Amino acid sequence: MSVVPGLQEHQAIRWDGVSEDTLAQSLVAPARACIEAGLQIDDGAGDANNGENRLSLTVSIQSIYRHAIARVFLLEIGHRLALGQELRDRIHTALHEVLLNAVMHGHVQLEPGIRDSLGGFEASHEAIKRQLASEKCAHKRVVIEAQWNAARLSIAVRDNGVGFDPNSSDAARHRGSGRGLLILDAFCDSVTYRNNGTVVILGFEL
Amino acid sequence: MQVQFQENDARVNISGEFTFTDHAAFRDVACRLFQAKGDTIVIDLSQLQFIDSAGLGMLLLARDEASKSTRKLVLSRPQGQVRRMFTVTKFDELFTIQA
Repeated sequence: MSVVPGLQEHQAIRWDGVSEDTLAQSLVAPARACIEAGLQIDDGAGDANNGENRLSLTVSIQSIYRHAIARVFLLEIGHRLALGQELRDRIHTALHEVLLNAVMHGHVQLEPGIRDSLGGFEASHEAIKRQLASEKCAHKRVVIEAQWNAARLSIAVRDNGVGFDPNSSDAARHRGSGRGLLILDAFCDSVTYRNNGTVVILGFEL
Repeated sequence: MQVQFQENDARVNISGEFTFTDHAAFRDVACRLFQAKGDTIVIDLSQLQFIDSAGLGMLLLARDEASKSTRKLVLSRPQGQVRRMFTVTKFDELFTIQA
């Protein structure tokens, strides 16, 4: 890992993208912003003027597919903030589903019905891998921003994909096949969608 | 995801996490289960710590494929996050779930 040039050491750290272990090391306090190697610094990353507790992580969609990003990010949040097991499970589940959704619906296009059989599941993953390796996905990224105080934890997930409307018929189809939106509603205390679904904000009461 | 078969392959214990990246492993599990003799096959989830929506989808597909061979797929002893996922998605209406 390395410090992003031009920023204070505690403000932004580079993650090498290699493993969950190196990611965990990159997120350790006092880091407040972590960015995967090869990606540009996000607006607001390492902003020292915001006194609220926060931690941000910018990763490629390829890394979301390859690594358990939600689990490692939550692990570090749990070091900074007292979380009971039930709340950890809810946050882990919700964040994981949002990241999964960002890859499966925000950045890759799959044939309708391809995941309607176990064999189709495997075929869909081959299609996902091909698309993730393509030039089209070379600069696709997701930003995870956690902010918290004594009463509330908010986790915003932003991506530069195509977005979606959670109230559309497409979203209903997704709900039928992936159940992701239903799970978010049940596991979070609040869910907010912005910017055509490219920003999802998960809220949890502490 | 880790698996351990019992009872002449009619029962499998799945432990660890069951997520979208476990598609190949689960397909192998399903294939082996469907070759077992008997009407009922059981997936023991007592050691499974985490499941995502893709894992839920794969369980449903396994149920559908089991029914084609007139077998019944039973889910046993879901715990913690897994049990909560089943409750939220009403899996008790879609599967026989053993406590």
